[in-house]
Amino acid sequence: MPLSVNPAEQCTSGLCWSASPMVCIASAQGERCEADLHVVWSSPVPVDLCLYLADEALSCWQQQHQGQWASRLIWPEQAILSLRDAEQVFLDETLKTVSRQPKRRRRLVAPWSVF
Amino acid sequence: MRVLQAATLLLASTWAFAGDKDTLDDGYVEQSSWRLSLAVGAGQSSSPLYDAANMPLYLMPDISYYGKVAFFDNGILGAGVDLSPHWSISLVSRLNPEKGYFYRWHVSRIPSMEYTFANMPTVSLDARTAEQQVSVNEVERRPTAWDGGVQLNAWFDDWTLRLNGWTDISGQHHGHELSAVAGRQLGTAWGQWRFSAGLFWKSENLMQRYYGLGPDEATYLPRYQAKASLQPELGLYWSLPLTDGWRMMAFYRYRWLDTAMTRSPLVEQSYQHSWFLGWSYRFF
Repeated sequence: MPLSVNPAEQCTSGLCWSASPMVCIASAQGERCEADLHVVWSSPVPVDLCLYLADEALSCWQQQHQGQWASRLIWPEQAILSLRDAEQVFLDETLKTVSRQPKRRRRLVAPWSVF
Repeated sequence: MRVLQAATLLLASTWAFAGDKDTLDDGYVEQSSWRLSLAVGAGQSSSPLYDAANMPLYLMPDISYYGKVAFFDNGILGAGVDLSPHWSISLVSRLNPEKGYFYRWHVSRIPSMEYTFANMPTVSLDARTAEQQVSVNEVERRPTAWDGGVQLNAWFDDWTLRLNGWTDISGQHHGHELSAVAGRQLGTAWGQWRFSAGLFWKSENLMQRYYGLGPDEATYLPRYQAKASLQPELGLYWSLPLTDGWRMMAFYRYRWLDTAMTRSPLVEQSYQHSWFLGWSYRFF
């Protein structure tokens, strides 16, 4: 069965989904990042599916043609978002937290001190 | 007077265009990226030894790299972790800086003259009326030693503390060094200031290897047995952000040398100091 990551609204065949956003932008490295995650999927045939973030099931559907899920999340640094049943993974994408500022650490030697 | 006016005008104009980049040195560096600055200006680092040249400071690099754990900072290679928001501990290594006092960029080091004067001791009583002296040019080259050690850093508001314990891991002198340096950073309208006060202790083995006399050195002098040395130090560093990446900077550092060092026939001065005045530019 061909799989697609096109937006579900444009799906004409196979299992389609859209998930957004995929990235949460923190103002600084290491800061907690919160955002609303919205997932929509559709299938021309009825399927049993669960939506997982890492290994945690967020929602499940039985014999459905389509589904959607939305919630506010504390974003993981990096984790796999997947649609799967007990046997196989149909779709997966990576959620990431990025920061506007690069990670910084304290300098351990005073500048010019070797002279 | 015109020079002063021109300098004031230049300073005022560059200050007016000061950008955001590098205007604040808050003691942090970007992780996993190199940092390179070059300073140009005038200065020197003195050597307290007889006939050792003061090292001119015209162009100085400031280069560092900090990874998640490992770091390189101006010759110090280490790996450190934070123990708490205020303390960190690191394993560190470096080239022992003691050999730097034996800097010999001097006319007497021109090879043709070295043969002529190499084994001619010069005993002068001018500066040390009751003691004898020996030039660095008349003793064997001191070894390049590699130190390993532990470093503790602490930060409390504007105060910093750095504690080091070093030991010779290259087997050159089997000596040790301990140091404690406290610093205070101040941001003012006239730039950033950093005051530091430190205390350095060097073991007898280290002192003997560098400032003692070998069995074949200056045999006309009584044997000098070095002792452990305690050396206090004060420092003042100033920098003023100018345009993007440029700073004016100056520093002065003064170290007192105790009698454990000044009694060595190699040592002429009871202090060692460094100063510099110039500009620095941060490339990245």
